[in-house]
Amino acid sequence: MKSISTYIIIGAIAIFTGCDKNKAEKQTGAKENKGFFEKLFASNKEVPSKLKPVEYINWCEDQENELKQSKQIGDFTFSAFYQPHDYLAIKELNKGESVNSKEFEEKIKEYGEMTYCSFRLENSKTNGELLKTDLSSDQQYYGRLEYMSFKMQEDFKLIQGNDTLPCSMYHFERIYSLAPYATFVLGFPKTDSKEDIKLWFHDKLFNNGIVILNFKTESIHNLPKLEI
Amino acid sequence: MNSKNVIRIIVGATVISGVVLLNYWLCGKQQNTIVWVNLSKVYNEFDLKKELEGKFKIVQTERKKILDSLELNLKVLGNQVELTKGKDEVKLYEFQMKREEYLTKKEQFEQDNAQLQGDYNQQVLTQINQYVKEYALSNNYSYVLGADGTGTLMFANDGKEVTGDILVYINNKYKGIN
Repeated sequence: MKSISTYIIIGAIAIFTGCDKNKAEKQTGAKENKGFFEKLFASNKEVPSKLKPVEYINWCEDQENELKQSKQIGDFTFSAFYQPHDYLAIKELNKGESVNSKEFEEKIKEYGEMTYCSFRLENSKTNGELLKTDLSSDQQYYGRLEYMSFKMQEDFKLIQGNDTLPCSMYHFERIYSLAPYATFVLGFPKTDSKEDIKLWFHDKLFNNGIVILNFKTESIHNLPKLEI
Repeated sequence: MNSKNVIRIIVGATVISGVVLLNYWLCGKQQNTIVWVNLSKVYNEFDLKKELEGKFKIVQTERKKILDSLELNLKVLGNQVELTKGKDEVKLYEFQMKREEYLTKKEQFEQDNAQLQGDYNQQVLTQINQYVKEYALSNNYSYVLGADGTGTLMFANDGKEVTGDILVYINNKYKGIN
């Protein structure tokens, strides 16, 4: 009898904690489609201490490590990739397994006191050129092109703690009709703040409003060390 | 450890696992649920709406300053024309030109303000629609009805109000907090 009552008490605790977790997730906005076991093991994910260049690249590009954030609004997907200096240096040196430490250090110096992200704007409902989405005239096309090439820089900001930083480096990678997206390389002044980084973008081109992509501080400051 | 204890542990572990799985299944299963929201509250308390409203007011104030300045210049010129009783043709011409410029600018700003307000409203609604859709999918709700006070939704017996929950959800989504 005693053991049965013990099971019932444990069962009741399990029901209580399960329902409470469910309710809390609903209130804070739970991640969709996450399975029970995924939830169970997500918090136990460890950052590797040292990685070789190729592994480091793969680690940074892995969606699971949260250096990539995205948001869907209507037909459009907005995604950003926080790119650590080490990642950029390896990519630029393009040396795979062997990286010359002197060359690497020089590259790191070149990046200076800046925070870099790449940003992608994609129309998920079409395969054509992004600039041609719901196009009404040639004039509108060239207006969009001019905006993306020069003026869109003003519509990006980086928010970290109490600091709102302007986009000081901007490059639009035009790929014409090759894919239904446009990619932008962005650079912002670096701050000493250890708070989350929020990439702020006001989409005036396709009228989707302000889009904020959040990079958690534990994701951007808890990176593996690069083994050269 | 005797065999009785081993059996007890196995039975206990099976019961607990069963209860936990049943609990997750029951708590997660809310299909065919109808919920409703107070639309005007959701719209007015959505952070994007507040941010865009602030931006719109700044633009509107700047445009008003330009118009006020043009209006003041026009009044000064008007007084000068009145003093000369319209005999100074240069002044009269200048006044007419300034008046034209003022009226054109005023009309242009009114149109631009209406366009900007329309764009901002559209942006707010697009994002509310997206986040409410995601909220409904993540909670397995079949319908999310909007009560806007116009009589579209006059009574919802089976539905429960989720305005507060949705506001927290959409504002977190907007800020990128998933």
